[in-house]
Amino acid sequence: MTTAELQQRARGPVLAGERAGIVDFLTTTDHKRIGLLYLFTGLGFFLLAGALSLVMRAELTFPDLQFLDEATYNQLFTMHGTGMIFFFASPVVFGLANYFIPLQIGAPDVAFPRLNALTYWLALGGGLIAFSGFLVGGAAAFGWTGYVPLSGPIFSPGSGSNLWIIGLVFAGTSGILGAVNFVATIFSMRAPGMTMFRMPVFTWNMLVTSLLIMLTFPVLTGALALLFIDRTLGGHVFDPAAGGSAILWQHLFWFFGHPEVYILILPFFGVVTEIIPVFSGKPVFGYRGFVFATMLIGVLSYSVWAHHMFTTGVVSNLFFAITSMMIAIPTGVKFFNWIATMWRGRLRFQTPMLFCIGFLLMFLVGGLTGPFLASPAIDYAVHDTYYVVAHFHYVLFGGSVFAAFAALYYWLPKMTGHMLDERLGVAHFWLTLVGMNLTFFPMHLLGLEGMPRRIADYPASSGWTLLNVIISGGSAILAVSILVLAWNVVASVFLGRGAVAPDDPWGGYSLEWATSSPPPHHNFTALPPIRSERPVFDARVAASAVRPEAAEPSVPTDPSADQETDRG
Amino acid sequence: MAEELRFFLRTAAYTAVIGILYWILSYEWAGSVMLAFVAVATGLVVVVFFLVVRATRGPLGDGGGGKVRRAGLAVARLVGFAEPRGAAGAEPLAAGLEPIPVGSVWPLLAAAAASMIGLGLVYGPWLSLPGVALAAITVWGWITQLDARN
Amino acid sequence: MGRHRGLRLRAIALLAVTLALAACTQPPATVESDRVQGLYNLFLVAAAGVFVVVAGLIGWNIVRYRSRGDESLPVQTNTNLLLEIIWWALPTLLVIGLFVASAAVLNTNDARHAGSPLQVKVEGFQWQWRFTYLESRVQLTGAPGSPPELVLPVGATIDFELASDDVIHAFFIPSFLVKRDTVPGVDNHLQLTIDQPGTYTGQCAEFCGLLHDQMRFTIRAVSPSEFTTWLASQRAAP
Repeated sequence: MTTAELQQRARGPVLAGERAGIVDFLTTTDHKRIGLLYLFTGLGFFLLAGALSLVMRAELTFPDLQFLDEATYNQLFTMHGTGMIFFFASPVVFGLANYFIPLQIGAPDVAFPRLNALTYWLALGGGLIAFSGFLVGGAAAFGWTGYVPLSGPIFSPGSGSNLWIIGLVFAGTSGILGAVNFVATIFSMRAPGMTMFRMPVFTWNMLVTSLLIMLTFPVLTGALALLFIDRTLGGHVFDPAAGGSAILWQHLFWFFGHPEVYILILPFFGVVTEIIPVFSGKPVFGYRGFVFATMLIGVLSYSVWAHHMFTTGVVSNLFFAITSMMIAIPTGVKFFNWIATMWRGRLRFQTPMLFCIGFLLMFLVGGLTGPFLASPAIDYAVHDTYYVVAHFHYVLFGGSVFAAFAALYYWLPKMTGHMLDERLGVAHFWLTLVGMNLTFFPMHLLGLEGMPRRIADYPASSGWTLLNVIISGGSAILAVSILVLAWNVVASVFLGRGAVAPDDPWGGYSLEWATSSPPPHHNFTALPPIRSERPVFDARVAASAVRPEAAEPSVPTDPSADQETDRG
Repeated sequence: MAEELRFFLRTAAYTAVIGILYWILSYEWAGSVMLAFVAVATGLVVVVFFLVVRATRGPLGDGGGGKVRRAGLAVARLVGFAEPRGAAGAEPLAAGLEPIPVGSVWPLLAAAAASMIGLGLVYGPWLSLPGVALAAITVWGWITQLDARN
Repeated sequence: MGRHRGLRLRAIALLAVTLALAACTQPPATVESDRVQGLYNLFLVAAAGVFVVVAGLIGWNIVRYRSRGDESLPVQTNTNLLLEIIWWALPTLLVIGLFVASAAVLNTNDARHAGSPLQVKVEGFQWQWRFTYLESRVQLTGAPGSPPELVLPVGATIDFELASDDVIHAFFIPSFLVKRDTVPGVDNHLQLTIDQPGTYTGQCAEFCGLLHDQMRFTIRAVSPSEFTTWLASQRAAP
């Protein structure tokens, strides 16, 4: 499809050249539409869970309770964590994976399209059910980690907590089925020539993520089932007074919970490893080493779980200290791969690359505070304080969210046929970078000063007020940054003001750039030959070699820079 | 051995070793059992995949003997791998070569049924039993839709 | 636009803040926390060093390899075995070093002391604390709005026996750089030796329900003779 044909296409979020109505979306089995559903659902929960955190920050700005009571505050932080982890980050991952795995391997769809649709509706249903607790007398209020006995029938009676359990079971089932789908797709539907070691790194990372999901979400589902039995059917699995074990919950939860955080970051490592090479004009450095590091992280993540339990006194702290520190090695090595990719490249700094650089710096900070927490003696001091909150927000916000934003700017043009506005993107980036650091860096200091997490209030005598004011100010800047993003997406995509996106606006390497933006229903009309991990790059090089009068294969300019944004 | 198999084998090997190490160091049941089951699950995948892949993919299955090949093919048909997938050796895909399902209402209804069952666990059988009924209808509709299309 | 300058400035600012981080921890008040502070400083130096190197390399890339509009492709280098070996080996060595240091401090701090430490039972309940001096049977119980003050002698080994009446709580004293969970059904112990007299705040650090944020206490560390006097007066009082 040529750009001229593209320009004749109707405006708005159309797919495959057809207008899609509500009914089409309700019954779709097309991985691209399902991907969009996942993506926008995830972004919706980001806004919801983010709003909860802004309310929390408003209350925490000054000592003494101003407008919240403890009961409400405890629901807010519980559902903020639950919402962000299960109903924002996971759906965004699944949205990107759904859309791009088949495209990147040259397949027309996933292996099980109807199952794919089911996973989306289960994910949406799970989110709605979990959050419906707010409407029935109180959502879950025991933290996203759900520790017993607090989350048991005696200390958290009420249907909101039961709805939380059901919602998470839905999320887990959705994830497991989706992971099975991805593995089947990747193993059996690759186009000719696409060997395992010619797959794009994003697809590789999704493969490892899918394996983690398949092996650890069942543990969570099992634990939730046992908790549900304790709560509603008279079980005593987690009841110490009746011979059960409160610690057992923690083992089960964290055996899932730690791989879960790798599930939340590995796909985004993949995203960043797609974007950095393209915007450096070079291939990814050390492709095999990178894939190996990803697999190593996946495998090692099974043996670190109890570093969340150092202060319980009942686990082998030395064993988990060494495994937790070990896992820092492959994670750190990736940084050198990324740096070497950029080294002696021709770096372009459009918004996708800006967010990747932000990711590198922010995830570096978050990653460096990890080993502190992996050292039990230090962990005794900072566990359950704002130091931990700082650490995981740096890796989750600075890592996953920054990379998710990078993916949006990079891939929304492919998905919707419209470029996002570059100036708004740059503004969004700087607001996010400043807001994020103002919000989360002072939390390290608060944790070192002894401010515990999950407290609705603190006394003025603590001396924590100034840092809390700064943090709340930072969160206000983040709120503004989200408004900028929201306006950019709405105006560029839904109001159609974004410049029309060609097949390959960025000079990409992988197969999704070998088709129109958005792709037709069956994804490809023809595939370039696949002889390396960069088939589209190879085809571009070959095309310029065939026409010697054309310029040397070049670094593409920004396509939206030389078109007026469409006011059409 | 194909990379796909090695992918699962690495996890099986690591969790088996670390599970034994963990048990010796801690005598803690929950973690040891979970590690052991991860090793068993991934190990099982390697075994099943090996049989199925040997039976269906030429380059891997050439050395397969009669009994192994027949067993592998039986498993392959059971899980839907009965023929080699078109993408594994055919020409590049073109429009219209493979019929792609256009849409289906059953995934949405299945999720609705699951929601009724799930909410019914919280609120009572008056919700979950109709959910089970809807689930049965959905399963029937899902399976028979394939026949109608083909 | 000075983007590279902005990033370099940010790197310097972050470095300054990390140094501030070292100063901002609590002044150590126990024998064990002195070791933890030292370990923390070691980690901080290592982390700051890694940060400067990695951020510096990223900053260098941004400044030096910016596309200046010349259209030719750069050399498509994508592999260097020696480099990859080096950058697997160096982090591994660093991790081993940090682990050895961590193991040393952990084993020393967590070691059970021989002899007869002062035994104090710590019981958490929703949402306050109960402290019992086991030998003299003196008991202090906190109430909403009136946190209990646990008086302890400086220089003596104290053995806290940790228990919970209901849900999981955590016994946390920021100045001591330590906390330990109180888990129902689990018999936990925490031993330490205070070496600085003073008053230290403590707070529950494991979310335990509605009024978790109010579950505070204080520890007042006094000389051994003052402690004996105080304990005697507590025994005498009704």
